[in-house]
Amino acid sequence: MFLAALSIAATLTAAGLLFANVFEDHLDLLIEQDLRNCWLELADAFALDDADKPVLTKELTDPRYQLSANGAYWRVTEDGATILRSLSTWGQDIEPTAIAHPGSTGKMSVLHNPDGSTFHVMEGEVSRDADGKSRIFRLVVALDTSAVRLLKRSFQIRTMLMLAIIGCVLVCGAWIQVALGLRPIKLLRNDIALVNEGRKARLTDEASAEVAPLVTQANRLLAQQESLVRKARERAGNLAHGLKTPLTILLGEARRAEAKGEFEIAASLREQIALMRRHIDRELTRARTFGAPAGGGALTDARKTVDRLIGLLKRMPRGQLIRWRNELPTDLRLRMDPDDFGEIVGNLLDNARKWAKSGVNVGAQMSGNNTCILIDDDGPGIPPGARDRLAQRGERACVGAEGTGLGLAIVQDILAQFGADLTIADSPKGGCRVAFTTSIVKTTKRAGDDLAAEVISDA
Amino acid sequence: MRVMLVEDEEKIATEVACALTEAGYLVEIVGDGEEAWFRGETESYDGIVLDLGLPKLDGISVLTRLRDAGIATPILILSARGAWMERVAGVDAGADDYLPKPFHPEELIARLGAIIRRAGAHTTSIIEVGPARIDTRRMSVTVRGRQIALSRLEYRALWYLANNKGRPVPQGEFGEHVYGGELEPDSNALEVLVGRLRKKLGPNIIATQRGFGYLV
Repeated sequence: MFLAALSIAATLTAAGLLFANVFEDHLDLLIEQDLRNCWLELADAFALDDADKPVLTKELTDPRYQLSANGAYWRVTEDGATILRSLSTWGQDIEPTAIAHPGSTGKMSVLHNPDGSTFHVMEGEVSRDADGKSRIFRLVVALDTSAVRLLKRSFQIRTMLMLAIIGCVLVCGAWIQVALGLRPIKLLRNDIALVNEGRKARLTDEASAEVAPLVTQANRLLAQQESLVRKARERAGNLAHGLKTPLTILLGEARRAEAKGEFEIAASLREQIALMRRHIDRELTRARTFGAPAGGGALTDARKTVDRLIGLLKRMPRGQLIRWRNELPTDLRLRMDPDDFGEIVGNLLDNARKWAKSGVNVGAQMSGNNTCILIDDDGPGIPPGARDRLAQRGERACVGAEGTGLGLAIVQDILAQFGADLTIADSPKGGCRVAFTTSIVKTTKRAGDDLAAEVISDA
Repeated sequence: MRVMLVEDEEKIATEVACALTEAGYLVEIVGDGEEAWFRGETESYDGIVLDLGLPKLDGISVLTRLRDAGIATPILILSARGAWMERVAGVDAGADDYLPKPFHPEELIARLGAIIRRAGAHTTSIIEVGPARIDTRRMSVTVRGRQIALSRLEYRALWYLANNKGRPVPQGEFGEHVYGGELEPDSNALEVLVGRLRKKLGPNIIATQRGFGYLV
């Protein structure tokens, strides 16, 4: 845009200078023509009378010579002495500035007077015969061209003014063209940002013809990506069903073996089943979450999801004895798939359910584009030495507690996909505080935002 | 206590039914979704154990249709799909609890007991009726601290009445929940059963409200 303005300005300035130059040349040519005619007329009228006295044989046609100080003058000199002059050369002395060859019509020159006036002067010599010998006379005609100089300046100013207006119009036009021309690109950029933030699933289809193929391709890629992630998750779900049903049957076998008194076989079976279940659960989680952050788009209404999870946890053992408090802000949108967020917070709240004495709090601490989700309970807490070990593969704080002991490892696996960590600390409530950091979506309050977020979280 | 077990995998169904029967329930096994929907709407159950992956009609649809028809029977979902949001979706569709596979039958019994208890507005697993104490988790009955030995049928009958404490239970409903649909209308089996219970527990625990039914 800057380049366009610069080139327009340069071109117009050059054009302006050229115009002024052409105009001046043209004026000079006219003046020269005028002076030459005057000089020729003077030379034609100039003669020696019978007494060899220089006279004008006829009146010069230009009326300006008849009035004093009228801007047009002529003079005839012989050997430097003025012998004839126009009436208008009142007290003025036109200095010859150029010496022309005898007989020539002379050359034009420009004379600048100290009073600021400018004269165009043409002079030349003529010879007249008297008594058989030739006398040389210098004929000078002059024209006051101060007015012409003013005209030239006025022309320059008007030209520049006109060109400046044209320049402004051209720059505006160029700007409008650039803005209009780049509008589809700008819209596309905004669209991509929205998709990135998860506020839109696809780029807008009604793009202009220039970017339409690009939009179509990008949307196709987005659809492919989504379909890949969905298929991977579906396969993971099917695998779960396929493996867990036989595992349930095997658990039944273990129970039967126990009933028959074959305690060793039953114990071994149970142990192996538990091991298989851990592997399956963990691999399923990995399969489900793999590629989730790359899937982009997904966004979670954190508070609503936590409310739904608490609704489920309240139905589980001890769930009704605990006072659940969801202190997340209502407008908190996380850049995370609702299933992944549900899996992380579900596991963490489930642990809290098992250990809390009376209350569990879910809160958030904002910092810029990130938020730290905090889950506090008032249970026995975890000694500092055991905290690192706990996040390891399938470790359990207490062997007696229900569950597979895999919750925290699954949480770690999912968080790793988002490049986040789980931290375990002491809670101000006296028990354990688990926390993880995730990026949020800044919601510029716009109609339809909440709706979009809800649609995604319900999906 | 009469429960419907909806599970298409025969081995799991038998295993779970066995464990539930041992826990004092009267179990009816249903192998597909349509049958489960039909029975759930027409029969009276104290609880339903529902698998999600079912032939003919999937579990979530069965659940939604039953709830839409106004059936409030406590429902426990049993599914291999154990992700937290899948469980939440099950509960949102109207389930009372969600147990992911594989599970220990003991846990199923505890969770089923809990939702049935909640439906009967009992907060703990112990129901007290006069001097009698019924521990539904341990399946034990005591009167003034003395342990009473009850048959599975007797226990089921007492449990049902106790779960409906304060409300007279009509004979027809009582028969359905203790014997299932197998009882002949003119049978006096219920009277005999209640007679046996009165003998074991003492005469003042189960009352008869003439024209209404039994009341504890």
